[in-house]
Amino acid sequence: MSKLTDSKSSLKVDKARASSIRIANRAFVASFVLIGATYLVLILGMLIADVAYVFEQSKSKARNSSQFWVSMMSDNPIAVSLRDPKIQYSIWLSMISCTLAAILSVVFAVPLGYVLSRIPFRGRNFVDAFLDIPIVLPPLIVGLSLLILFQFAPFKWVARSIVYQIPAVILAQWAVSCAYAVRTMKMTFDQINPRCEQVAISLGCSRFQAFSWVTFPEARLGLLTAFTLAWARSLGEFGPLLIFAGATRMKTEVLSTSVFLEMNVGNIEGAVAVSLLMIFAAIVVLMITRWATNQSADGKAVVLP
Amino acid sequence: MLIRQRTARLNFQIFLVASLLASIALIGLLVLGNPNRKASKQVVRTIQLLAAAGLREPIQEIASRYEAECGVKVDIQFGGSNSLLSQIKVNRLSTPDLLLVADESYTQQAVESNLAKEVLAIAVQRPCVIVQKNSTLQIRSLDDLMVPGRRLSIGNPDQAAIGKVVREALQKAPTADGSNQWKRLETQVLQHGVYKPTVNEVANDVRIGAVDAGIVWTSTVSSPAYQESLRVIELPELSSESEIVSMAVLSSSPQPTEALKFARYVSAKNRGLEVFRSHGLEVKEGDDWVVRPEINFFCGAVNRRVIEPILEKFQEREGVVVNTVYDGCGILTGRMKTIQNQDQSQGFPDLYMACDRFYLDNVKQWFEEDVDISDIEIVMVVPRGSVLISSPADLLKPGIRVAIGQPDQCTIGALTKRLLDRDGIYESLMKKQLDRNETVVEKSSSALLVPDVLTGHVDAAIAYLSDVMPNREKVDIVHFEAGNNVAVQPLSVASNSRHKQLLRRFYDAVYREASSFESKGFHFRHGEKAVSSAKWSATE
Repeated sequence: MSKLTDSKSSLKVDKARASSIRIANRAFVASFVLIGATYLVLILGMLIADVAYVFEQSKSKARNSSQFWVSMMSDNPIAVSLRDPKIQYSIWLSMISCTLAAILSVVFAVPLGYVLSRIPFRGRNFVDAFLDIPIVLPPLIVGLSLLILFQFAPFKWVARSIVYQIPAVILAQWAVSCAYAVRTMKMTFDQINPRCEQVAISLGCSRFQAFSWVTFPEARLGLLTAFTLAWARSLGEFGPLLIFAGATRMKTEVLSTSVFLEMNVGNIEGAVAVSLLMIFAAIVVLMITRWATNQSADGKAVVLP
Repeated sequence: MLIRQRTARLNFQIFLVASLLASIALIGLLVLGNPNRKASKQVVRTIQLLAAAGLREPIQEIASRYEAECGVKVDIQFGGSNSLLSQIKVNRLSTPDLLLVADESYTQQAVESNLAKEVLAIAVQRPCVIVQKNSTLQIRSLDDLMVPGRRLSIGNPDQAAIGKVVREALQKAPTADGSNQWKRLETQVLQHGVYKPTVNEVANDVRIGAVDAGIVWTSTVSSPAYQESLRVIELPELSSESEIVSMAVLSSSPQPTEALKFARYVSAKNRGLEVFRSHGLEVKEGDDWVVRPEINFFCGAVNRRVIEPILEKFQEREGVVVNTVYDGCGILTGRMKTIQNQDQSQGFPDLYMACDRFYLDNVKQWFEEDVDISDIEIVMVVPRGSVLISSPADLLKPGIRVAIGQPDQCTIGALTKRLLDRDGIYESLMKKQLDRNETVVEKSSSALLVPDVLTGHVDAAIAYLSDVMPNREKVDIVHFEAGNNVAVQPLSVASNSRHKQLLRRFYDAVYREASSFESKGFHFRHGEKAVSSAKWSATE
């Protein structure tokens, strides 16, 4: 910005023009902030509405209690949900399955993204489009397709230990979240200048060494983004889970299915409370990854989760 | 130089190793933290079984097999069926786990007097007459037993199941002089014979020659020792009467889950029933033996509120896993159709509770034993104090905003359509929907309709009464006229399920919780009386 005004002033434009440009610049920034803020307000509004709703509910319940604040603290839908061992299990399973699905996603996304970005082959565009299928497919159909897939050999042989079991949760989450990770990794590799890699090869590195030591470290920010996206996507996944993994309490029920099922029986407070827990968990994880991103952006080494 | 500097930073190898380690750690957490695993670590005490003496041989063999296979010892105390029952009634100090009797009426009595919970049918027994192998007696009818001086040994009808069954069978058979065969036999026994408390003692009496003939179960004398020394004669008057060998889990059991596990073993097709068959009993259809069975349950989302607590108790008590899939019934039946050969290992349900009978009828060929469990009323829901709606026709008034279920997506929608079609209101409502100034919104499930009223976005919604219940104090209800205004929930078992006995116990569990249906806005259908597991197979 200052550079811009410097160059402008060096052109010796008259003062009136300069001030009108300043106003125009301010208007530009202000309008962008305003447009951005609208969306931010919407998100915040939803969150606040959720919290207010839960607060209202616990207030109306606590009114009948002799100790108002004690009841507010212990009987509000969030506390009730947190005390419930089934919800505790859901949280625990969600955290582990999402993390596993996200790790699997980046492990598969790195080679796939690299191949798509760097290695030209016939039909690359076709494969590229093909990888979007899990993103555009309605979630229920992903679950149904997985279920149908497991009717055929060789999947059929392991169907009993996967369908409706915990591995189904991870598989269903991974099936969708990996597509997001691949997309992110491909874009990351696209943006990295292949020159460094070529120089490394010309200096005697093998292709793998060049990738591992030159390109891959460059891609670490993209890697973190891919991980975060995949993790968040897995946390929100529920359509395929409901069909492919079922919603057996204390077994395959994760937070997203809890919300849907609570909702489906009209327990709106419960659904909102679990959603708030999910939001909280998501914020914690996203903050951690942001922090790790900043750490690595400062040039320090980072060990990925 | 360049390479050495880079190695300190993240490279692909480090990434792969870290991912691998993290995955292993997480999978380890999953396996270790699995609650199913924790449950199996309980210390199991010896199982105490009270068994009818007549079943001594098969049950002992099964118990020793069970100990070898599952590592749990079974202590068996033998006695006459009725004596065992009265022992349970009187003795409140000991805590036996299971009761095995030769006649189902005893287990039924135990259930009726709250001494037992589950009953498992095992086999069918028939009475027969025995004499010594080398005996010259020619017994062709009952009359041949009633010869003066013929010494008979009979199970005491008040102590042993065999005695009771013989009494019941013969009381039904009249004699020429207006009395019945039992009276004749009783006189004969009192004059020339003896009552014994257990069926084994009867067999032994005949074997050692203390009496000329006795009446026992066909299975009593199937062991080689008896086969060598005794001859079996089947009399039509007696063999028409069959009794069901059944096992009951006693209320006194401090470890019902372990008790049920052994009971499942005893009644398993490829375990206990094999042994019973080899001892000459006609066995019932049994489940496959699995240490911890898993069944798939497709449940209409509407039923979840009432089914879930029942399911939880059932899983805990039986020590089984029920993989539950809650969803709209259209989706559930759609899924069933995609599963090849209705194979449970590929996710086909063992058990299905539809939102309405309509959604059972289109997959009926794969199910059996369906029973209407409950029904829910369909009502109009309006904001508290609203006077706008008093009849379905009011929904058509201009300016009235309405929310209904989408008929292709959910049962409530399909039923609403059926209900409103009666007076041609549905068609007019669809016309109203086309008017840009009117609101007629369609939702994909009943539970999503009530919130619309709660938040004030519509003036009326048509939903299940059960979905209104949690917010009953915030809305008013307008009832429809009777007829077509209920959804009926049938429970049914897949024809190819390998756990039918277990599933029938689930039916019983549902029946025991009838009151919880009522409190959640369902109407429980008592029309079909509660059926015990044993009764189920008896009527096959």
